[in-house]
Amino acid sequence: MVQSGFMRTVNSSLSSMGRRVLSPLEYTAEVFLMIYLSFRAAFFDQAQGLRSVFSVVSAQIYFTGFQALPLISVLALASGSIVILQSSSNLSLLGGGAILGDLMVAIVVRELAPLLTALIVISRSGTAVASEIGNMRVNREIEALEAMGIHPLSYVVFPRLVGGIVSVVCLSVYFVLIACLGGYVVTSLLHDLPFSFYTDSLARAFTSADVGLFFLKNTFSGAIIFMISCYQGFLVKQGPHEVPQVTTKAVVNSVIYVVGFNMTVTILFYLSRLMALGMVR
Amino acid sequence: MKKAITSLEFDHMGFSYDNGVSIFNDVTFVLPKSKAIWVRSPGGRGKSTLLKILAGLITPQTGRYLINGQDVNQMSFEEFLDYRMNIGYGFDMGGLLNNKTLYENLSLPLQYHKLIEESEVQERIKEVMNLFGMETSQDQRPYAVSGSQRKLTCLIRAFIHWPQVVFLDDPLNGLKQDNLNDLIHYVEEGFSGRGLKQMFFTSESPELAKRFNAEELLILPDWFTTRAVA
Repeated sequence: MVQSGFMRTVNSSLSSMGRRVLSPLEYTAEVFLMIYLSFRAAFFDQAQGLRSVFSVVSAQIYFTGFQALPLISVLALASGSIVILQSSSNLSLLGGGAILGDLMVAIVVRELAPLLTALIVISRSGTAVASEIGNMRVNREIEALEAMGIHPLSYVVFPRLVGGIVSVVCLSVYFVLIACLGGYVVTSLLHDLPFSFYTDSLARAFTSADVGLFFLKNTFSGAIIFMISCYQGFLVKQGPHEVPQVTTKAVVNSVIYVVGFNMTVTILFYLSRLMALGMVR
Repeated sequence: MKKAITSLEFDHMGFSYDNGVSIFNDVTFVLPKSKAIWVRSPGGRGKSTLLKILAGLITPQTGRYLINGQDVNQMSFEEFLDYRMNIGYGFDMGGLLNNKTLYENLSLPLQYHKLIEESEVQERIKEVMNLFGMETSQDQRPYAVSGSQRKLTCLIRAFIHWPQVVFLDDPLNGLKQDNLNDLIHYVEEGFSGRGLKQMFFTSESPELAKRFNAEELLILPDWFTTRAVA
């Protein structure tokens, strides 16, 4: 049967739309498959001792976590100071200074710390991991590991994933500490804010739900960044010219997935709050 | 842990590259059991690909590659590991871990699989470094040493766990004459008392083939054949 021009256009549009929907799903499935295989390989690999995993995990924590501390400090200090300064000065005028802690928790702990930490880790370590693995593919290091009977997924991916998650969580905790304490110090130079008032307000605002949300966001952001970066690195096939391409793709995809995940969790969190208050059914 | 390799064969094996170019098509062939096998073909006809298939680094898309009658395609990484421990592979280029020193590159398979005691690892690597005159370079990373030392390290690593079968992709390329003599001595030692039984290699030069009285394995479109080196 010969299709009319209109039907062909409709079919082609539908198939292109289908590809656009399926492509991210396929990509996500492939990334998860690689992670499943790396965990499986790590647990089934009798030879890979804790010492070998620990050495790569500690190197990953050093490069991703420790070396990022100065940059995180600056960002945390700036974010904390801005939020405290703006909130305390404006809220004092309106007579609502007591909710300063709530604002700090809502803005810094729930949103800024996980998101900014993730963005810093993507730009520093996500790129490094994607290009490192890409170069390992080009230099046949991955093939060499296989030839030596070392599973590349358990030796290369698993420790980077574990080290990456630990680093992101620790960096984010550090971000919150610097933002809350450093931010207060900076603010106190410009604005009169009693310390006891500030700490009381913060202590009242923190709930166990915030702690859960904080760790959920950071753990999964860390996993997403290193899953995608490792996966992109392994996509290098032909030669060195592919390394910058996969690195760029790793950054773009990590940002999209991390922001998407953070937004989804935030929306669900606030929906659950509103439902608890009976404002949404 | 090491599983002895008694036979290697292809059953209707076919392999194509990612770009669709078919390199082997429906090949059924039992690999010879000679001590040294010189793999030859016109350029770009799949010598390196054949060695990689034989070493289990890539798998054919169609047909079967059988080790001891077992289909390699059907084995998981862990199942193939016992055979892999009896296989050594030397790359034509690259293949060294760039973030490790030459010593660490050589010791990695021994330490990772805990094949021998740590003191024995040190002893074995010291011995081999002395043999090839690389004592001063052992703590250098691959990018800091000469190309011939990189090549040599990659070749030595194929033998370091003393496997039963070794596949060397263009071992003479980039190697100095002195190193070649040392390598021949090292391989002879392997054959004489270290458990080495077979060595497959590709090379443009007949030097290694003559030295080890190799059998020639010719790769022709759709079929393989063997003959004695002229």
